[in-house]
Amino acid sequence: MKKALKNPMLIIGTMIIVILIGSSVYYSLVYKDVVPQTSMLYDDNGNLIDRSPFTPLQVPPFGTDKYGYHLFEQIIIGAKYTIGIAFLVASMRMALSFVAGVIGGTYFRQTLRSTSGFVDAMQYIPISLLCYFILSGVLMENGMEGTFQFSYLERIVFEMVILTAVAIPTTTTLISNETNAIWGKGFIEGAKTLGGSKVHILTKHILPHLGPRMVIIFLQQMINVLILLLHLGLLKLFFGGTFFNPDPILGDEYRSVSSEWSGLIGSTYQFLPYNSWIPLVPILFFVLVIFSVNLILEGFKQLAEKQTMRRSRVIKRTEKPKGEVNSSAFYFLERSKQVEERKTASR
Amino acid sequence: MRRKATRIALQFITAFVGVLLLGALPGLFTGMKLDPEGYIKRLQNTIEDIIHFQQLTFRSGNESYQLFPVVFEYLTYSIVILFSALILAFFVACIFTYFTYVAPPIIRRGLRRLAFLTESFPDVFVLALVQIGVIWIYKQTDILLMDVAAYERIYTMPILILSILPTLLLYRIMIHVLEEEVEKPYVELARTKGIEPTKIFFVHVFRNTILAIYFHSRSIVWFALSNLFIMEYVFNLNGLIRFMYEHPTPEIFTVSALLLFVPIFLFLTIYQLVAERAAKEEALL
Repeated sequence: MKKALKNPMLIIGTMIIVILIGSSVYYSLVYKDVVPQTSMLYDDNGNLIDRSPFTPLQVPPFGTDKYGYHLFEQIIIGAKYTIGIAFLVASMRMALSFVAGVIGGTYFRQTLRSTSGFVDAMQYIPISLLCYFILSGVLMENGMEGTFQFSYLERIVFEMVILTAVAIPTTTTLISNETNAIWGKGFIEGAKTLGGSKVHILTKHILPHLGPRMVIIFLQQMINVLILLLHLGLLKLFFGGTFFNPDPILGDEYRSVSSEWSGLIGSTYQFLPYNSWIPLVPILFFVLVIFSVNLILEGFKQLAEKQTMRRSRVIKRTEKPKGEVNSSAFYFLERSKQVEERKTASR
Repeated sequence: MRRKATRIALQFITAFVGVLLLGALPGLFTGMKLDPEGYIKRLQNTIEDIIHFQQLTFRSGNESYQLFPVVFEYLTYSIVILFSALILAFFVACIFTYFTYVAPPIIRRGLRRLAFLTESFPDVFVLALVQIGVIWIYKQTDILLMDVAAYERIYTMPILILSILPTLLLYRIMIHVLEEEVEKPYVELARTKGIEPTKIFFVHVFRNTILAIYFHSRSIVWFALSNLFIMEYVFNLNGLIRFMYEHPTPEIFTVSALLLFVPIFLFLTIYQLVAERAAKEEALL
């Protein structure tokens, strides 16, 4: 724990995420998630200068969107949802794959090896496209009727389940391979010889060795979920549902039901050529969160490496003899002449 | 040799069936309910459709067109971009790695930091930057590097753009392998014998790098495929993956997925064989 506090990567990464979530929760508690709006700007004499959208220079720090809503506050409000979803989905993926992977890697090694061919198939289809196909029917608002088929809660639960399920096969194979690799190690053989039962070896040896790898896979999964959310947002499939307003003249309009970040990107991506900052700000925040998760990941890797190194060093250390050497503890024997002779003979 | 052939054939068949099963997955849900019957029905329908593949059609506007052989144009376009970008990425990453290898340690450390930073860049971010860059250049010099609205199929820019992230990914992997490899005794021996660093790099270290990439090859291709999808979507390229997105019917999804799967599988298998041969030579030496 003390070592963790000394690792700069780990601290900075955690700090960024904690600040984002903290300010997000604070904002919703104190300001009740109200987004300030500046749709027109006047100079000192009360003359109209400009209309929304405003650049980050006109309305610091991040400017406004088409309707004059400040982007900064929207980002702050959305932070807890985006990071929260990534955290939740990654944890669910891990929890399920961990149980399945450890059991599979311990008891069904052969079966898993033969099914891995089917799991390979996942790698020939872009996962975001597959998710899109499954989710679009549920999440997209019916443009003609203007209604959703399902309630808000149902949509959220369904999306979480799907986002979790798509990664289960690959993560399970990964974890079962890790488990399998530990079962093949030398010290397991030793534990078996000493009479350790399968359950005993599993809890005392396999799981502690699996621990650090699990944290690493968890963090990677979190990044994975964030990128998936980003992709789905770009495909106009927002978390919790998409308001779809078909408009043949001004172009179809999509809006997010929740204030989550990917919705901010998908609904504004078409402004990129003219008002680049509107989609770019949420994208940059995605980069920031992924970066800080990566920092934590790298910091943790360093920490884990140090720990294994220290552990092995402790084992190798031998006790130094204590106390002074008593000079009368040993004495020279008289050399026998026979030995002397034999030595010269062999020479 | 025969055992290898049967192994590859078996891999092909399981992955093929896997893609079939995955392709029917959207049929598992009617609305939000699990519907195993619907899934099986969907699977049967897709298999029948594939057997009578000439009769498959897709709709564009109000017209209905034959899927074959039009779909092959989309397929070749996507595949050409994907593979060219991957091969380009491989060579560029090699060159970068070489320069990192000969660079002084301070620069090397800086480059490693930079490589770590790029790990956090999602494809959407890179594409957005490219788009802004293209527009900026157009405004400054009146040269349009890439016409997003054009219908004809363009190659140069998409290949260049798609190769950005795989290059960085490959570079990171190569640097990682390189660092482990340089520590090994055989490199030290070669150095003490007075062999030039360049020769050590290309003859010895490079070969092991190829092998290391083999272990990551699947995820690299998958990563590039996912990038390709987003790129086709953002830049309106007429590739197969955007075709799948625009024609969201189950049979088109499965057939397109299978069409994509076959060349990628071949590509990976060939690479695998090459890498294995390289490894064997290494063992003989």
